[in-house]
Amino acid sequence: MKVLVVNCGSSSLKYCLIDMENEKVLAKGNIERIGQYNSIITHKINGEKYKKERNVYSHEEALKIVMEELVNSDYPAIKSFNEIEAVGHRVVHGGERFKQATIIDEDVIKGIEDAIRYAPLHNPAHLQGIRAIQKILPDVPNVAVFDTAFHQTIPKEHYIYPIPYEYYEKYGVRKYGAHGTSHKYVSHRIAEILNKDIKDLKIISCHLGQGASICAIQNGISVDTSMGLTPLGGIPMGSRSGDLDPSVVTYIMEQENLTPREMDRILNKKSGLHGISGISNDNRDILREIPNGNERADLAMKVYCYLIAQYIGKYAVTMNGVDVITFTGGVGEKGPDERKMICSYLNFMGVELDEEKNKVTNMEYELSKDDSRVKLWIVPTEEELIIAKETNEIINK
Amino acid sequence: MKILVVNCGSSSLKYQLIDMEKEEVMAKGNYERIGENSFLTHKVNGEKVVIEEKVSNHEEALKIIVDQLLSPKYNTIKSLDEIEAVGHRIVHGGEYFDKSVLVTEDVIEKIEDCSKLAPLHNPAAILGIRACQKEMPNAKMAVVFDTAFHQTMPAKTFTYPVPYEMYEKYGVRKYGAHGTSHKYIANRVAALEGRTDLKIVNCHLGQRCKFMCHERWKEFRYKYGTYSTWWNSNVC
Repeated sequence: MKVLVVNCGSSSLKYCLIDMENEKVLAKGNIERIGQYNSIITHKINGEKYKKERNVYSHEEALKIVMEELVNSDYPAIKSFNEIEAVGHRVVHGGERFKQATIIDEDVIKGIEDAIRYAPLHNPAHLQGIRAIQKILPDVPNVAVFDTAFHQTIPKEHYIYPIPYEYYEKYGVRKYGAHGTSHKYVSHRIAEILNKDIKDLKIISCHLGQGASICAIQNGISVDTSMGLTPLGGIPMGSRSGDLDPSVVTYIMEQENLTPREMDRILNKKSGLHGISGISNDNRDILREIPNGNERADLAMKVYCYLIAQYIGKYAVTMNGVDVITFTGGVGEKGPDERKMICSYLNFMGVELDEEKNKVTNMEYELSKDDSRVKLWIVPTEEELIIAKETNEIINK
Repeated sequence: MKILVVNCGSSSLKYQLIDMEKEEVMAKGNYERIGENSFLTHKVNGEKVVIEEKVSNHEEALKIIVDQLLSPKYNTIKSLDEIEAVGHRIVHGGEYFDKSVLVTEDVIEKIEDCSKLAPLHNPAAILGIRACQKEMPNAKMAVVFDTAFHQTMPAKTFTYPVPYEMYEKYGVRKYGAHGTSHKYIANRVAALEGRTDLKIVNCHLGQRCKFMCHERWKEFRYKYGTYSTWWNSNVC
C-alpha cells in the first residue's frame, strides 16, 4: 500500500510518499511561502533534490503541484493517482476528543475545528490540506494523526492545572502535550530494541528538536509530558520559553504595555535559546559562540541543559524510577554536547553516559556505559513514516 | 537584649517582642485593617486582648502597640529604651541585598526601588521602618529580606528563557522567597546532623505544616534521642 503523508503549516506544506510494503520513501518534499510571492518547491526523489519557484496561492494549488511532481514530472514516483491508497494528515491538536488516529469524516473535521482555539496557526492549515486532498483524491480515505492523542492517557492529577477549575470546564484549559506520534514511536521502538515488553519499562523520552518535549511512559502509555495546553509549555526550546513563573508573563506585559497576543508572540518566537543568547534559535550557532567567550551563549546552553535535566528528574519521580532515557529530534540525535551536559546532572540516579559512545549521531545507538543502571539510547524519529504507519494501521482495522 | 520584630502588610502590622537571652516571645500581635475598621489583637502573658481602635496609618497603629508594651497591666517593658533593636521583614531585596543589613537612607532607597517587584509589600515595610524610627529613635533598625538567602543562585538557575533584555531592563529573573526560613532550617539541620556537607531539599509548605514538623521533631527526639533517622524519614 502506498501512503501519502501530508503535514500542512500555515504557509507551508510537507509531503512524503511511502511504500508500506518495504517502508521505503518513494518521494518527499515541501512547498514553502504558500500565499506569498516566489513560493519554493523542493522535491526529493531517487536521492536527488529539485527546487522550483512559482507563485503558489493556496494549499489546494500546492497539493495539485505535489500530485504533478509525483506523477507527471520528469522523475515520476508513481504512474497514477490510483496508486495512493490512503493519505495521512498530521494534525497538531485533537483536544480531548481524539485519543488515537482517526479516519476523517465531517464529524472528525468538526472536531479538528473545535480544537483550533488551542492551535490557531496549525489546525486551520491542516483542514485546508484535508479539504484539498478530498477534492484532488475523492476516493481515497484520509486519516488524521494527532500530536496530542498519545497523551490522552495522562491521569487527571497530572493534566489539571492549579487554577480555577472552571477554566477547564469552560475552556478546556488542561495539559494536552504534543510530539505524541514521536514519543509513541520511540517508546515502542526502544522496547523492541531492548527486547522487553513495553509494559515493563519506565521510559523517559526526550524529543529535542526546534520544538522540544519530554514524555514519561509507564506501562506502555504516556503518563506525563512537558508541553501543556499548547506547545509553548515545558522545557526551553529554540525560540520558545517553556515553563515560567506565571507572574513573569503579566509583569512583562505591564512593563511593556503588551496585549496577550503580542506577549504570546514574544514567548513563542523570541524566547528560549534565542531569547537568552540573542544569537539564534539554532543550537549549533550558539555552541559555536561559546569558545569565543560569548557569555550569553554559554548561559543559554547551561539554562537549556539544566531545565531539561530537571524535567528528566521530574519524570523519574512521576514513575518512581526510570529504566531508559531516549533521545530523538535534531538535537537529541545530533547533540553530544547537550546530551553530556544534561546527563551530568543525573549520575545520582544511575545515569552513566559513555563519552566515546556519545560521539555517535543520527542512528539507533546505546550511549550509556555498560554498567549504567539507567540505559541511554538515541532513537531517531521519522515522523512521516510513523504517520504513514498509523494511517496504515487504522485503515486496515 | 530585647528585639521587636515587625512585619508590615499594606494594611496590617504584625509584631513580636522577643527576649533574646531566653529566646522567648514576651508579647505578640497583629494590627489589622489599618485605614478602615482597624483593630489590634495583642497576646501577652497567655492572654489575648482585642482593642478596637480605628487608626489611619502604620504610625498611629504603632503608637497603640507601644502603649500595650508599656502598659503596667501586662508589665512587659518599663520603657522603650529596653527595645535595643527592631528587625523588619522585607519581602523583596532584589539583587541589592544578599544578607540582612542595618537601615540607612540608601538602604531605604534600594528597598523602594524593589517595590515594582513587590508593590504591596515593600512600600508597607518602609512605612513600618519610618514609624519605628520616629517612635523608637534610639533603637537600631535592621532589615531582613525574604530574598537575600537566594542571591547565591548561579545565573543558569535564576535566568528565565525569555528575551535577555527583560532581565537587563526590568530585573526579570528568579528571586525566590521564604529565604529566612530556608536559611534557618538549612543551618539547623546541619547543626543537628553535625555535618556541613549536606545536600538539603527544604520544603516550606505554609505556616501550619512547618510548625507541625517542628513539634513532631521535639517529640521524636525525646523518645528516640537520634536526629538523623528522623530527618531521613520525615523531611517535610
